Amino acid sequence: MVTLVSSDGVSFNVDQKVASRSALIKNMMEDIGEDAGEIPVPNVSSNVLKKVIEYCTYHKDDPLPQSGEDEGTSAADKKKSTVIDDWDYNFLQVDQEMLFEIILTANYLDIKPLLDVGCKTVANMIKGKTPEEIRRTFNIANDFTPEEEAQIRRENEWAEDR
Amino acid sequence: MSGTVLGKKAPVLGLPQEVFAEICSSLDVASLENLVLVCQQWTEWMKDDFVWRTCFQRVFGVSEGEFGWMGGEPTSWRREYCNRMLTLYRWSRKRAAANRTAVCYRPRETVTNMRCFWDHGIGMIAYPHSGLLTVFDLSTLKAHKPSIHIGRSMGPIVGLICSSMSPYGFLHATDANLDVLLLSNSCKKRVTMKFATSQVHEAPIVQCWMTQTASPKVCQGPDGKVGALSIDNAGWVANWELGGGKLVGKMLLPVSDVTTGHTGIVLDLFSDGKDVFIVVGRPVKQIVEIYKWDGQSADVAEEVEVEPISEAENKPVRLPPNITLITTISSKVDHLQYLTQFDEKSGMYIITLGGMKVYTMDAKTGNTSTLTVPSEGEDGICVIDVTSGSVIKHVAVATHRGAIHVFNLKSSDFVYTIDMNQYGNVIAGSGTTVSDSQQVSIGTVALNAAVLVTVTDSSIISVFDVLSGSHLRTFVPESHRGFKQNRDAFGTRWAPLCTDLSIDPLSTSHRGVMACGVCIESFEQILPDGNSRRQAKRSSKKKTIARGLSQAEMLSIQRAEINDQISTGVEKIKEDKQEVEKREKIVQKYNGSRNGSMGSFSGGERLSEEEQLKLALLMSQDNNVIREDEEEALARALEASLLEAQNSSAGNESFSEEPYENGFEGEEEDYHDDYQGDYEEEDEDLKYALELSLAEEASRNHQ
Repeated sequence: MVTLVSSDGVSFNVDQKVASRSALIKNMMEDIGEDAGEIPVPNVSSNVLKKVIEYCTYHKDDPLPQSGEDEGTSAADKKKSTVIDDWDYNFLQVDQEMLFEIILTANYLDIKPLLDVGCKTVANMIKGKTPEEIRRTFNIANDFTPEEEAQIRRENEWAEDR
Repeated sequence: MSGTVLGKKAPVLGLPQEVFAEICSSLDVASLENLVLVCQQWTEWMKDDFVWRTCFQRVFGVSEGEFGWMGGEPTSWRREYCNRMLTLYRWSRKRAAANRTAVCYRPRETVTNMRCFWDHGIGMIAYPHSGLLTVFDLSTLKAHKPSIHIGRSMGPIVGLICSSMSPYGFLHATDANLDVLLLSNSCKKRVTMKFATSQVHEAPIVQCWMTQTASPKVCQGPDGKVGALSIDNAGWVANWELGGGKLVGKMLLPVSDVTTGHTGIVLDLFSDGKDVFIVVGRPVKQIVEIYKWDGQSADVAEEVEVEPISEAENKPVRLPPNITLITTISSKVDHLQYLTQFDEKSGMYIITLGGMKVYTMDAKTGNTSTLTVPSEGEDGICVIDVTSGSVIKHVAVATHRGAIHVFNLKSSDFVYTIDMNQYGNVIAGSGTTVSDSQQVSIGTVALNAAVLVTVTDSSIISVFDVLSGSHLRTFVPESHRGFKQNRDAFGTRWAPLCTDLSIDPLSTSHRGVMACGVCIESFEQILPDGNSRRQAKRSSKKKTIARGLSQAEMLSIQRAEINDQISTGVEKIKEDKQEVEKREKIVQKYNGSRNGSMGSFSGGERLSEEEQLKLALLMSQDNNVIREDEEEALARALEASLLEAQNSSAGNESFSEEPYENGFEGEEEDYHDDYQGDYEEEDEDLKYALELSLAEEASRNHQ
């Protein structure tokens, strides 16, 4: 058992197996030793950490992604799984703010599969949309002047000859 | 910087650039182009090579130095990534249907040597008799015109390779000359390298090789890197700088040294971009030696004695100083049937000797390990084919008993065996036996990161999941169906034996190309994951059932279906008018020439390819609601009624008759099977749509 403490001071007791889904925490536990005690997770609020732990608990028995030498293969594997599985899909049916917090946490804690699935979810929100639709989806303000926009469109044109 | 609404930053803009790049790697090129126009921050990021490089590495799994730039030289990551993605996109637009096209380039010459260079989307075939080299596009199978004449009488083509650095380079050797052709879109350059062995004798070159992972400048000029290698049967090895054909180094390997009793033959040579490895077989001693050479010239007088590293070797070998014997493999067999495969990325080399034993060798250390093939009987095994590749973790060993043994490339551990006798003769689901022979003989086997594909000598393609060895599907190529019906007319002369097979190493489907007799065919089927994979299975089952329909019946239903669909207002997708007209002309011409009952396919009734695809998709979606068990019962009922229908209209089997006859008898040198291809394409689409709708209708009735 290890205890993870969120930025707002909430403690979560989690199984070592669950915690080691995060490569960062796994390395930390290996460095400190078995009795890691409390591990502070700054930058991550309790509601987000709770979600991430939920993910890690569900996926605790998945094979750990291999690192290092099998880089090429894992990339090919990744390409293969363009589909998000049902549980993950439902897990990420949250508001945008939470989604991005989860992605940031996955990035920070180095939980590769969660980062992947999060990025895919965002990518699916972008796919097939016009720039204006993308702005509306993510609530982004258009900060281009019409001239700038025309300029970028011109620069992009080389890609059109397909 | 930007992107604020009511003073609050949009949450998505809080993501760091590395995460943004990660998201981009899951997007298609069109969406990426749109991202640039969203806000200033993203515009900035997209200008940065970092994003594109990340995308490239995520999608293709390789980083700089591990691949060849598409244009031959490094450009921007953005351009490279977009170009590659668009190439893939063009591929995927070719609809997911098996064995779409059969193309016959030279109707009188059997294809024996085909190479596919998936990075560049081209394939090459060498015709040894006519001395021609045909380059074809892998996605369309159209040949680049004209074919390249490489000489008829000068000698056999001993190497055919495309460097990933020079997209259209190839190399072949004729007698004592080494010819290198560098072809690209803009330039066509031929370099002939005179193999300077005149001080000994003019011995024919037996093997040549081109490095693929050397410096990207390899085509640009002298940089000391290995470009091309060649060896003749006297043991002279030469190392050439590719661009100008300059000799970098040469040396004499004591392949056959009478004084020490070292009679031997050069089996292979290859390079990892740094050192040159030479494989020499010595049949008398039943050993294979592998030498490592630094590629530079050395004075023969400076020979040094090398201690034997194996017990089988009892006399010291005299070698030039810059070459070392790195390993000796002792094989207790009396002949050296020899198949190899070298993978530059992992540095692993696979060797099989005497067809009985398979070894893997790590080129860096020279360490070898034996793949322990499960025993298949007292007389051992005979290896037909071994295969592995860059992104592949496995080695597949096909044996003459119809088994494919799969091993882990790194650990040499046995993983599983596929017994092709279970699959090879039978088309999945139909129970139809294609070949009568009891034992399946495997023609060739290929694998990538996702699937293992094998073709039997009766040209039946089977696809397996590479990780588990589970069977995914089996199908018969188009040409085989045609040929089968014409077997009596043609005799065995044109029996379409599969001679070569290549699948896309980076793809996760079994998109591939095979050489089958005189024809090149592509086959492709995107295998969806999870649930949808089951659906794919279902629809293939339907396909099989519908195949039982008689021809006339099919046609009438087809026409009715199409009319129906048009009247219910299927959404028309714009297609180039000219293209349509051209196709129709071709089809009409073709139909006319066949005098068949097919002539009534008039243009107005036909749906465009895309519409049909859409339609098929819609229908398959509807089909998903059918429960599995219901479907089983339906399928059986349908099958029975179809059988009945078939029996009643027996004899009406004119389908895809004599598609090749014209081509074979025609005098054109480069006969192109356009008519056949286009016709079949339309027809397949119609059939597919029909089959789906039939099944759907049946299920409705049942309910």
